[in-house]
Amino acid sequence: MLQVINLYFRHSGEKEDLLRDVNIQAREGEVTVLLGPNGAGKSTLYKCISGLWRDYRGEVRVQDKPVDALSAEKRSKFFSVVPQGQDLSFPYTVREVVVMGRAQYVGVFSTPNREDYDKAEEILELLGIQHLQHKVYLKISGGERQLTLLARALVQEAPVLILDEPTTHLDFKNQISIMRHIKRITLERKLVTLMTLHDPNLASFFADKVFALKRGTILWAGIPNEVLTETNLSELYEIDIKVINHNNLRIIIPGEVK
Amino acid sequence: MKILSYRLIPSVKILIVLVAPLVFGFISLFTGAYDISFGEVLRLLLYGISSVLSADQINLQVIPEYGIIWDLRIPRVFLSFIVGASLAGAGTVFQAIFKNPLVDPYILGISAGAAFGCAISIGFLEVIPVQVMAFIFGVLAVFIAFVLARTQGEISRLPLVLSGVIVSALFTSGVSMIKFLIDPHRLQSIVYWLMGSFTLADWKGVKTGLLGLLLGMGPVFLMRWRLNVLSLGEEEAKLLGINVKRDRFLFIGFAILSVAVATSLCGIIGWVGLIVPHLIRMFIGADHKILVPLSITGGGAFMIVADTIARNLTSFDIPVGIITAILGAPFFVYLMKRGGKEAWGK
Repeated sequence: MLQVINLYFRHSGEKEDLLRDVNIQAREGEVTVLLGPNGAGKSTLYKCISGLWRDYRGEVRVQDKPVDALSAEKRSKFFSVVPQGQDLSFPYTVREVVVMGRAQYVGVFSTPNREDYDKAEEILELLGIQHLQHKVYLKISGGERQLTLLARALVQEAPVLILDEPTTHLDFKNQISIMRHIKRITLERKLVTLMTLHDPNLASFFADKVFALKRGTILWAGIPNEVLTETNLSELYEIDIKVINHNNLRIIIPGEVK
Repeated sequence: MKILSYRLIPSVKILIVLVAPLVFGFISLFTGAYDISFGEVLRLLLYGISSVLSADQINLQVIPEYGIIWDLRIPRVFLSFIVGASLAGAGTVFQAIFKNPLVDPYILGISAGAAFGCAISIGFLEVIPVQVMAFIFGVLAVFIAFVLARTQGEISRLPLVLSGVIVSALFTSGVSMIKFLIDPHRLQSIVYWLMGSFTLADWKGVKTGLLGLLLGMGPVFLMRWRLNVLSLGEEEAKLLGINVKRDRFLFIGFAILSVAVATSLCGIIGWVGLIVPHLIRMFIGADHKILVPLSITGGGAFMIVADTIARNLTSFDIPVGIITAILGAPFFVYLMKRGGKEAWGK
């Protein structure tokens, strides 16, 4: 379980808190989604949780162990982070990118061993992209890149998987496909998965829990069928929103389209 | 088929780059201003090796040809290799650390800084070994370039190159100042050495250079895979569990060590550290596990070829730095036009 308890953050020298009293609980085998408008503090929260920014107040716990004293590189045992996209400076192949996820297991004066490469290949197979392993990362499509970065995070073998808007830059099919992969792997590997999404519909389809973050604080939280209501979503995004029920699935549409 | 294309072809390519310095080095021994026949060179080579092995002294050693092969050409080939290997190895390190395919020891101003250190040592402070001064000012050069280029925590690509230009200019004028100030006897040795040449190569230089190469590139070779992760940038590398500050510090320190020793032996030689890693990357791929050792041997081979051209093109020695620039500049233009996004990254 991942717990964020009473977390506050502000940049040194600034008056306003970017995060105020944030509380989050995310469980094993569940996809927990963080919704929120741009600038709500989602990225800030990730930086605090992953340890890149450590001067926050409050507590972050993984499986009841506080990790606040640990630096980002030490926290790589607990968290694997999938960034929004990765601009590489050099033409590494997909296999080389994925095996970088093993960095914490590779000694300073050493290189990845057979086992590390086997793990990378195993994950590539799990995600159905083993045929890409010798392709240059810079030359594959956006969807394939996102899967590659997911694979890199998975070989880290950390209990908590954090994804920063995994569906941006992806077409509709790839959005659904990556969400399905994440959902399946979260269940199979009993991961604590925490992700941000821009599309509340994807949260409705795939999330087990939703937290709404607005202006640095949690507005509401709960299971999708209970909290994804017209009032809640209108309050979060400050636009008129309609929610339709279709086969016990909530579909969210803007109240006024034309 | 797959095994053929993913395993065999790279292995053959790797082998080519690994043996290249041996082949070019061997060929280079048969060329030179003093005319010695092919058979004679072979005979003297074999004779030299056997006399080392059996220690029986025949007076073949007194003929001048023996000295030319064993005390001029062979140390010169070794020194070219060592310097090329050091510069190209260091270039690979800096390109990865600064995630910037446009930098090398020359562009970052390290070569100029090291040269300034050497000039001070030669000119005023003979008590301190040139290598030590070269290292100190090499570190200073990187530090200045780093501070100038650092904006909001990240090192951006173009500012780093521009900072290198500034640092280079600063130390180059420093060297000129020293040349102006010191007494003419010492001036000559500085001027000669600064042009970037292996004319003064001897076994003592080879020993010093080898030590610098081993102490600098040895640890870099062992740590080489981390360059992959570091080249993702500071935050990404940290999130993957890399101690970025410590590793950067080690890599930069070891790379400067190699460059400082190389510069102290042959002056400023540009382009090698920039071009060789590019070439190898295009030939074999970006994985530093392979890129680092091959840049080292490839850099050595490149420098042997450049120096062989330098000493055979005319009846006198052309400074090898001129040759590397003549070979390098058009190649660089070619890279720029052809490689596009792939060679330059983004």
